[in-house]
Order: sequence, then structure tokens, then C-alpha cells
Amino acid sequence: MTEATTARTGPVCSAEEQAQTDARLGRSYRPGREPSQPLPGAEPHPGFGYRREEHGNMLIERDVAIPTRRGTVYADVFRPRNATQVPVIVGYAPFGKHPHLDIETLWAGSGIPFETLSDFVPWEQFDPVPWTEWGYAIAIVDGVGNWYSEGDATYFTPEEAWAGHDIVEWLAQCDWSTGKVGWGGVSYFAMTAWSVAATKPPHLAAILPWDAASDCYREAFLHAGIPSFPFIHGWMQLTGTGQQRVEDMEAGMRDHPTFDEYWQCRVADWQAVDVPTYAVTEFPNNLHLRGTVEAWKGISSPDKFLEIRGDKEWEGFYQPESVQRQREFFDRYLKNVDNGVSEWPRVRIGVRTREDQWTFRDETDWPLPDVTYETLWLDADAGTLNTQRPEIAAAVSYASTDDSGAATFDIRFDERVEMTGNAKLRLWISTDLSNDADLFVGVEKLDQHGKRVPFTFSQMYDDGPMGFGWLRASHRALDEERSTPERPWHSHARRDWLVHGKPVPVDIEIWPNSVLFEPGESLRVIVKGTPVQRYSGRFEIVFAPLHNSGNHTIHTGGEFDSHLYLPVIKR
Amino acid sequence: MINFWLASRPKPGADRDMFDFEWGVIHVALMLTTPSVMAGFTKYSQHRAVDDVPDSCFPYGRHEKGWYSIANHVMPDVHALEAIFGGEDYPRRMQPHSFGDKEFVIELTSVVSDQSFGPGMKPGHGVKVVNFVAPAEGIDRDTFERVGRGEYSARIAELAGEGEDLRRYVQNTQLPLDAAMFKGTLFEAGGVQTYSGIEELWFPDREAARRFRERRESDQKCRELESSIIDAGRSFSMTVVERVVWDYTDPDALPRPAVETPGSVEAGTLATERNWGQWNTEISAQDGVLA
Repeated sequence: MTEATTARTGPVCSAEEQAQTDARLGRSYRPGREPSQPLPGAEPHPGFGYRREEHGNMLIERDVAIPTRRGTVYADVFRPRNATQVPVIVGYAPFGKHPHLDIETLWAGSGIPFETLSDFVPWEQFDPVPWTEWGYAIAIVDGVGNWYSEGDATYFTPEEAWAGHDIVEWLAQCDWSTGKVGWGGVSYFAMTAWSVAATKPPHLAAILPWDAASDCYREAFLHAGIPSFPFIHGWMQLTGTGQQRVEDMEAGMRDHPTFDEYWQCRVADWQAVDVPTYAVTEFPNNLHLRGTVEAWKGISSPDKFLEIRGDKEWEGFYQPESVQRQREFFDRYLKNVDNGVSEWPRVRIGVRTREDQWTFRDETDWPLPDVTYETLWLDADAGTLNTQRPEIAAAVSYASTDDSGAATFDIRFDERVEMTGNAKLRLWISTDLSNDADLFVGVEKLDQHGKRVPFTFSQMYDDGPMGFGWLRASHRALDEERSTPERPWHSHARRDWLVHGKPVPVDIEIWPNSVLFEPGESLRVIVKGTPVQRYSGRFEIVFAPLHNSGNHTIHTGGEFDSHLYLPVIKR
Repeated sequence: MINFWLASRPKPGADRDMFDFEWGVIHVALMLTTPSVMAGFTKYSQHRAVDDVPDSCFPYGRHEKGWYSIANHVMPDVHALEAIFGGEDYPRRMQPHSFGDKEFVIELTSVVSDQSFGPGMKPGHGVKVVNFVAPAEGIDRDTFERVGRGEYSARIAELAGEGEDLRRYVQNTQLPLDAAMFKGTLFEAGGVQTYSGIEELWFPDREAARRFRERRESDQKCRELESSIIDAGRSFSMTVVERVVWDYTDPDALPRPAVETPGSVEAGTLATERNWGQWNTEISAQDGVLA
């Protein structure tokens, strides 16, 4: 591999600059976990140092040094042996590029077709064996400051994006490279695609973000203001290995409970992204769905495609038909193959009916251009949703710290109804003990017999609600410029504490959805102070600490315009 | 109603009698003549740790910092606190009077339950054990609250019986509080929201407190419930005497503070006060209005 030099644009990201930025934003660090120490339940690191391996027609270069403005990072590069002109796809993440996780055991139940994968597949990444056969190089990079890569590790930051910029440009100039570089993968590998593309590396030709949250405050660390400390604690175990310091995101959540510059800097300038983009997510995904859709809407790429599926995150990524589409996309934009991808429908959604039952449908845009909205009024007295606003005020209370405490509101459909799009739930809520309220909302389907219909949920579960939303009531202030009638956008800039017994209106964003209801089936809205359903395992997003005490009371009818704003498709 | 708690102590090496005077007389006088304070706090109580109380009187250890004082401020909602610390008269009138240590325990709570037993207790009489309780490792807030206000509280009531020893039991649960609210105040170095709850137990005397502690310790069910939600090692107790400085939580119980009454001597005196550093500056005759 030849050394290549890059003419750098953008910030210098020197250590001095970094220190100033850290101080200004209030970032905290902790010592990195020593790379030679294996993570619990993982294989030890195989040893650091450049080496070459050959497997059939695949050449692997381990620990290739890539200079960046943040220090040298190390990559494993898989490419066709003896090939001289290949495009390269970059995967960048903090989890460790070396194979150290027993994927089949740890991810049992995820729906991944393990039998289709080679032994070389890095977790959440493209399988290098078929991709090198198809004439691609795959470069898997340990993030800045992680494992043996130099520097202090920061997560989702602009500095990380500029290091990614340098990685793209360096790989483009390798003597075996065509100079066309793609970026992608799942989750972290995908989230960085937004920020790196926003730096406009000249040789970045396409991105394929598969489940790419794009606003980590609102979608990953503090869902609508509710922190998930236990979840992030586990995430820090996976991401906190390095020789120097790693950013302490638990401290960050504690020190920055509202959306300030600490978090704002981690949201890429979506408008600046202009490369061809194939963005994929799933309606059941309670981590990446919102961010993938919002960023896709915001980017300015002329060639951009959105796919919202009905299955689980990793299950979908590794399905053979998905891999085929991934290849077609990169063939088109990294190899300039005229394969019809440019004419793909701009949007493809999975219309769901129950559990894991869903079918793809092509669309021209998201939100669907012909979506209409229906207002369904809550009636606390009857526990119903109604097309007519109740004249009489009513209230229903539930114990906010009890799993069994909930308020439900149902509507039975007499005709076929398709709910596709963003929904909003407006509630008037009061408390009797706390000066805040953490609200968990589930949208469920009941069959003709009133029995709950389970849906695929999150990354691993088969028994979830079909729709979901959250809100910490003290964060109810809206960003009026960004809010729309169907999609409230909370500024999270300040906290408006509740006063005991005084109802206040809150608008709760229900993440995007697409579900068909047959005549006789019902839609149910559930409001709780605890998660709509509890799960087990490392992939559950556990929210804590909560701000609930005593009872929540929901007020409807009369002066209280509590309602569900439902997206309906009539065709 | 919610409660704003401050536990503190005299400055290291300072004379405690002087602290008592500063806190008990000067500080109170300032509060009584500061409109935002009187508008916001409907009840104000001071507690002072009793000397020579044996450890056997309280369930948890003393705090390593040796807290001496607890102030409890009752207010209708947290906005009262925001109005006080964010207002104009607090920094001008209260802030300069710095008489205690810079370290504090700061908590905001709501009363979960308030139970009286037997003859009850008159304010200011007997002794009171105040427990600042930390949650057991791995216990989430939901469980802490559910067990604490449910089975645990019920068990304490059972042990209280007819009120031979325990006369009143109040359980307070922690509320969220924004530490940034105290930036620039005397309390900015305080530890905000360390404890999940505060228990208040009133006894006729310290001997009754000791007996009740023994009963609590020897009751297996109580011990099991307690250890399931409370980390005794990170919790602390104080045995205190209580002084209810004012209480107009019942609006009819007392007249409003004089400083809130236009035309009163106190309101007039306040009107002639000057801002910090401006006491001897001249007021232009054009700006002045003859009475």
C-alpha cells in the first residue's frame, strides 16, 4: 500500500483546538479501557501491527495506518487480490474492527441469516468475501482514539467527521483505488455517514446509511428528554476501549440534560450532504427510525432513496435481497454501472398488518404526498378515541411508577384504514406529586375480537407496540419553526416544571409508521409512566432515572383538546 | 406543596453560637423582609442537630461532613424557587449574608405520606430524626418509590402502633431539580439531588427515638424491605430539634408578612434600601420625588 498525501480542508483539529472545544462545550473524558483487555464475553485482541493475509482471491491488510488530522487511525482493508482499480467502501466505528464478538450467540433471535455470512464479516458491516468478489475494497476503521487508533475518542462529533473526511481522501489516493469511495454500514457505521458526507470529501461518491440516527440527543441518549443511562452505560462498555482518553457520554448526559451546543454539534448539517444516498431503516426501530427519516428529508442529494422496512435492524441488512440492492446501489454510484438504480422509486415502505407481516410498496416521497390527517379526540370517561370532540371534561389517572398503571383510548374502524406517516398525540396532563412527568406512549392494534396484535419491535423483539413515542413533560416547549401539525419538534432548550394539579398541554411525537387496519380492527393509544412493555437482554433501551412520582392525570373534553392527529392514506 | 431542603454546617473552625445567631436571627430577619422569599415560601423550618445524641437513636450513620443544620422551605411549586433565585431582591438582600459553609446537601421533595400516631406532636417539641436515604444499588426509581410508599411505609406505621414512641412519620420523595438554578448563589457548590427520599420521624424524646430504632432493627420484615430499596451506607441520619419559623400553608392561619403590605413600616423601610455598593451614592434631585 502506498502512502498518499491529502490536501486538507476544514478545521485543523489540533490538540490545542480540541482542548478549547472540549472546555467550551463541557465535554468529559474517562481513561480508555486498555485494548489488550478483552471485553466481557469477547475474544482478546489478536495483536496489533501491520500484516497481510490471503484467503482465496481476497487480500487482507491488517492495521493499515491512515493519517488523519486527529492522529493515525488503523484499518483492516479487504480487497481483491491483484486488483488494481477498485472502489472502496468505508466502515468507521468504535466497536473494534477485529473479530472479537461471537455474533451468532450474542445476536441470537435477531433474525440474521447467519448461514449466508462468511467468517470475515465485521459486525454491522458488509461481508468482505462477496464484496471483494464483486470488485470492491472494504476498509473497516477503528475510530479516532479507539483501540490502537491515536487520539482521544469522541462520539458523533465534528472532529470525528473531519477524521472521516481524511480517511476518504487517503483511501481514494491508494494505488489500487479508483478514487471512488463509499461510506456505510449499520448503526454507528451509518450515523457517521451523515456527518462525514456533510464535510464534502471530494472523493466520497455515495453513502449507504442503514439505520442512522441523526440527532443523538433526541433519538439515542435522551429520547424526547428521557435519559437512558443504563442503556448508554452498556454502550460505553462497547465503545470505551482506547489507549488514551474516551469521551464519557454518561457524564455528558448528566451534565447536559437539555439540548445545548454539546449536543447540537453532533447533528450534521444535513443540507450539506449532496452525494447519492440509499438510506434504510425500519418502522419498528425505536433507536434509528426517526433520525434516518429526518436526515434523509434534510439532505440535498438529487439521487436519494429511502427504504423503511418492517423487519429488524440487522435481519434486514443481511437478507440476500438487501445485499443485492446494496450492491446495485454501489455499482451504480461507485462503478458507474447503468443498472437502473437512478430510476428506483425515491421511497419504498413496508406496509404492515401484524407481527412480522409486511409488504413493500413504492412511493414518490416521504411523507406520502397524498397523506391526510384525521383528528381523533380522547375521552377519558369512556376510554375512547372519537371523531367528535367531547363537550364534557373528564379525567383519568394512573399510578405513574406502576407497570400496570396506564390510560388507554380505543377506536374501532368500520372500514379499511391505512395509517402511514407521522402522528401526534396531544395530552393535557397534570401530576399530584412530581414536578415533572415522563410519558411513554404506545400505539397498538386490536383484532376483531379485541385481542392485542403484537408487532416486531426494536432490534430483537417480536411482541411490541406498532407505534411509539415519549416525552419528558418539562421538555414540552416546541420549536415553533420546526414543528408541524403532525410532527412536534421539541426544542429541549429549557425545562418547564409542572405544578401539582395544574393541567398543561403536551405534544408527543409518534415516530413514523405504516399499518393497515381491516374493518372491525381497533387502534389503541396507551399512555404510561413506565415503558409500554418490558423486555430483557442487552438490546433493551432502559430509561432511567425517571422523573415520575405519584399519579399522572390525563384531562380530555371540554376545554382540554387532548387528541390524536392520525395520518391516513385514502386510495 | 413541595419542599426545598438545605443541610449545612458552620464554616470549619467557626463559632457555632455565632452561626446560630446569624442563621436564627439575622437570616430570618432578612427573609421576613424580602418580598420574593415571603411570597414563595409558605412555611419555613430550621433544624439543629442535638448534641450528645447516641448513635443508637438513628438508623443510619452520621454524615462524614458533620452536618449541623437543616432548613426546610415549603412552597407551592418549583416556580417559587425560580422566582426567588432568579429575582432581583434575593441577590441584593440575601446573597451578601454569607455565614455558613459553602458545602450543602440540596434536595427538592414532595410529601408522599404524612401519618400521625397517638397524640401526635406539637411543632418544635421533642426530637426529630431526619433520614436522607440513598437507593440500593441497582434499584430503579420506580421500585424505590413503589416499595417505599407502599409496603415499607405501611410497616413503619405498624411498628408505630398507638404512638408510644413514634408520633409522626413523613415520607418525602425526590423531585427533579435543575442544579443550574443555583449558579451564582450561595448554594452553587452544593450537592444537588443525591438522595432519593427524606424521612422525618417525630419522637417525644431521644429515648423514644432509641426504642423505636431498636424495634425497627429487630423487625425482620422492616429490615428486609429497607435493605431492598435503601443503601444504608450511603444514607445518613440527623437527630434534630425543630423550629417552625413561620407557617401560613393555611392562608387563614396567620396574617400575611408585613413586608407584603403597602404602607407598613417594613415595606417602607425596604423601599429606602439601596443596591449593593450604592449606599453612599447621591441620587439626583431631578430623579427624586418629594413625599
